[in-house]
Amino acid sequence: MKVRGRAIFALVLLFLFLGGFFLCTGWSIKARLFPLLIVIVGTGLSVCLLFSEMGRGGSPETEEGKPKKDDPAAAFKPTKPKTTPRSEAIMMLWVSGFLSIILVFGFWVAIAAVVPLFMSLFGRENRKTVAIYTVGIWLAIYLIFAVGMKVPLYGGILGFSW
Amino acid sequence: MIEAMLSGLQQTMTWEVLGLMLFATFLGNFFGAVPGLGGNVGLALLIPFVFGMKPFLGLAFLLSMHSVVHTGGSIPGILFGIPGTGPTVATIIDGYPMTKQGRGGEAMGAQLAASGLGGIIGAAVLAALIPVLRPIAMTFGSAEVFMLIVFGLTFVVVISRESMSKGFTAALLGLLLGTVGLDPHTGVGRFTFGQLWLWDGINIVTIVLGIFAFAEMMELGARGRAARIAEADVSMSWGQLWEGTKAVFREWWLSLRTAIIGTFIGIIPGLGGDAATWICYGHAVQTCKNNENFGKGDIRGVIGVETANNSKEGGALLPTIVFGIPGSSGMAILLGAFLILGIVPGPKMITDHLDLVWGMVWVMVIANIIGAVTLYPVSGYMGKLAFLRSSLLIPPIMVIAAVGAFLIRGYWQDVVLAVFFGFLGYGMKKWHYPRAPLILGFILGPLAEDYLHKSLGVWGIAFLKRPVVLVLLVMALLSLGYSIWHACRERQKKRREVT
Repeated sequence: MKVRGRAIFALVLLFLFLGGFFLCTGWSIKARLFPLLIVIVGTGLSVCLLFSEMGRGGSPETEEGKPKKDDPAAAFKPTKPKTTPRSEAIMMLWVSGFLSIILVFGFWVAIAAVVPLFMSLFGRENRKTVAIYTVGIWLAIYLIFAVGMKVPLYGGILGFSW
Repeated sequence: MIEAMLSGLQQTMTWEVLGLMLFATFLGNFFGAVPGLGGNVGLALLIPFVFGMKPFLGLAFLLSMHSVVHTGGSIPGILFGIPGTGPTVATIIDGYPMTKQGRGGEAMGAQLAASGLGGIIGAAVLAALIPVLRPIAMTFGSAEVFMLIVFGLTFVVVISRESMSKGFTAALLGLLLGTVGLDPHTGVGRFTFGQLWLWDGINIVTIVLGIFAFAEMMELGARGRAARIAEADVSMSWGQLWEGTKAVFREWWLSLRTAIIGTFIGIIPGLGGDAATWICYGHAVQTCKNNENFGKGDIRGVIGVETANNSKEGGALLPTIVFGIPGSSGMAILLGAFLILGIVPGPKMITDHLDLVWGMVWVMVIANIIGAVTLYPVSGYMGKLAFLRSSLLIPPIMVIAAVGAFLIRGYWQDVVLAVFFGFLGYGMKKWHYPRAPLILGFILGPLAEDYLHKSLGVWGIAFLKRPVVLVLLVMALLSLGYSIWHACRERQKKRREVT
């Protein structure tokens, strides 16, 4: 399963370079000279990486987790909590959710909504900490950008600008 | 000359100038420390405030702010893996692992001392070069600059020890991203997909915030709500800061070399500060003994980058004041501000206003000292932030990263791009693709293409026969060959140890 993730990532990179190759063929020689050189070499390297990742066994997580035999310091190193596909998916959903709220409602609403939700649901922090943190972050951003620098932040599709 | 030097010092050492410099260094550190703001945004925002000021007062204010931006810019990089400014990205490679090991104080001490020292050396080199600048600058045409960039690109190998093929792929991806936007030579929109906001290309800060800030925060969150940046529970102390500071002077030869290299790279217009830090990092890796810990938390990696980071500003000021050619994007804005203040940069500055030039040198020296010294007492408290659990750390950093991505150009699309690069950066981190080569490729790619076309336009392929170009080409090939040979030897050595 994890080997497949590595291979998929190499495949994504291959598609990026291949996409670049097809896009730049339509430009004038001078404009495509440099990008074409890059995508040709990049495609070749990505193909090599793809085959190498597909033929590789084990997983980085399990290799990382086990202390190396020739590393005497490994026994004293603090253990790092592992990531799991589920925890990764949850974090990616939080980030995507934050982005979606920014795009629809703008920064002010996104900060006011996502910060307390994240701290309560993900962090299980107590209400007092959540309230102090949310107000603190919102006010800091407001005072620095809206008041101090007079920079208008994005108000979203609905136009909630300050 | 001595008279001008003393007159410059006299102008600087007044309560009015010193007070304003103190405030400017605080602002500079702040603009540097907030990801997405940086020196250019800071300068742009502060220029309206110097209207009506005495020329030297306004100059001291803006130059002090600009000189210390990278001193503050390295703080979030060392503590959270988030670069405050573009040129401080290289500091993360060793500074952030040091924080993770509970040696954040040492990294901060080294960073502050190296920044201060680098800035002072940069200003000193600026002073020493004033009389001999013209012939040096004249030897570097577009062909020489192109080869200098190629030389810089060879450092991809140096910073991709873990996997050279993955490092090269990342660098190529960076080079490809650097071509996004309107081609300056033909006007063709490349990879713009008909989007107006992509005509200017992708901003470095958007990529950096994505592949470093968002990716790091995603990783921290994925490790659970109680995860911390610092794995070892060692608080940042004065002892650690002092240790880091001492290391800069213990490694005096490295500090001096990287500061001087940084200054000279800063002199070359258009090459930029990012290139200076990466070249100096590569130089530190290549020349230091027992270099196996570079990238894993070697203090010499922080020293090499930080001295160059501040010293290059001294170099960049040279072509700006002597020829009116800005040495960097920040200097271009500063150049505009000088004109607003009634100071006209050009060769006459050296003949008619030498005291003003010396004044600038003194301002840089004093600002760098103030910038570093005032951060010492604060950095200890800042270090404690690294031990906060992820549920408390992620929200403000996510917010600052998103706001930073938006502030660069005012496009909401940049926030989307930063999140996309966050996913890409997370994948790169998870599957062991070094992220630094992507940044190096992105920074040097457009410069390389530009100077390649210029060189081909002027000399054709014969530009490769120019003497300085040949020397730089040989140096690039030697650097590449040596790095590959060294990496192969290390791999063989490891294999032999295993068997």
